[in-house]
Amino acid sequence: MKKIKKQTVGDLAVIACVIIICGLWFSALQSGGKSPIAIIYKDGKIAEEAALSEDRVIRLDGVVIQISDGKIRFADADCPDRLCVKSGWLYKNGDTAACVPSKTVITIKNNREKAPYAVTF
Amino acid sequence: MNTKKITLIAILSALAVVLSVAEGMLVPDIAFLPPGAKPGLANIVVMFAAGFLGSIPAFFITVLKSFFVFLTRGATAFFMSIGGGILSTCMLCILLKIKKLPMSYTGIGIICAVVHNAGQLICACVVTGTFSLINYAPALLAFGAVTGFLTGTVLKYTVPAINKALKNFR
Ligand SMILES: [Zn+2]
Repeated sequence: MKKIKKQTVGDLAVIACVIIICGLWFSALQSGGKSPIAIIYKDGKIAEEAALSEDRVIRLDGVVIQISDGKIRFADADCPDRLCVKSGWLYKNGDTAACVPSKTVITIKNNREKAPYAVTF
Repeated sequence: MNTKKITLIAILSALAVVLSVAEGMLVPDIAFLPPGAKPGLANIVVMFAAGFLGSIPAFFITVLKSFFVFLTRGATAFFMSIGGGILSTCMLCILLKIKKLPMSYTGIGIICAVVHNAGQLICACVVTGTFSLINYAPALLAFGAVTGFLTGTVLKYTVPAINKALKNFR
């Protein structure tokens, strides 16, 4: 069995790395302008790019997606754990929800084409 | 491989399965995390098994735990569980093999939990065929670091007592 040590250099280095990476990544996600759109992926392909300004219901195989009041969510799904429905409403840049069993992903992007990852990562 | 060792592996496997099922029922969904993110309490057991019994029992417990996920939560959950579990247990065994690693179970716990979450995220990206789930990465990284810190630190301070209790099991 491994020798028991108190907190060591390695532990602190790991913690420092996590904090730095998290900080940078979160701040990269925060950047963003106005008028977000929802991109709906189905089976790895873009099924729909929906403006959030117009209330509507989108039915795809296995899921029901609802847009209301500038927000979008999985309103209903056939999957076993329904984690997608629990994800709730998405509305700001980077918000993402997935129904992995039905291979459906919704992600919010700012309309003005601006790739936050291209710069930082 | 003697009877005592097999018995211990069986007990640890049962413990890992119970912890992974129980945390799914007890832990509420946390706001900014993807629903279904869990603290990974069973990792305490896997880390202990890897340190006390070796790599093979650790992998055995990891796979068995995922098999229970398959029985209770279906194929997608199984795929994500085994993806995260195998990757994390590989990392764990590598770290434990390094001599004079300047790190306690706290650091090892953090790394393994983060790698576990990364493995699950990669699996989710593969299944859905889209890279956009990467948006969950920073939240999962932070969450994994916190839960790994807790599980690793719990193990660090309980290992002396467990070692004493199990000295006849070696
Ligand atoms: Zn779903």
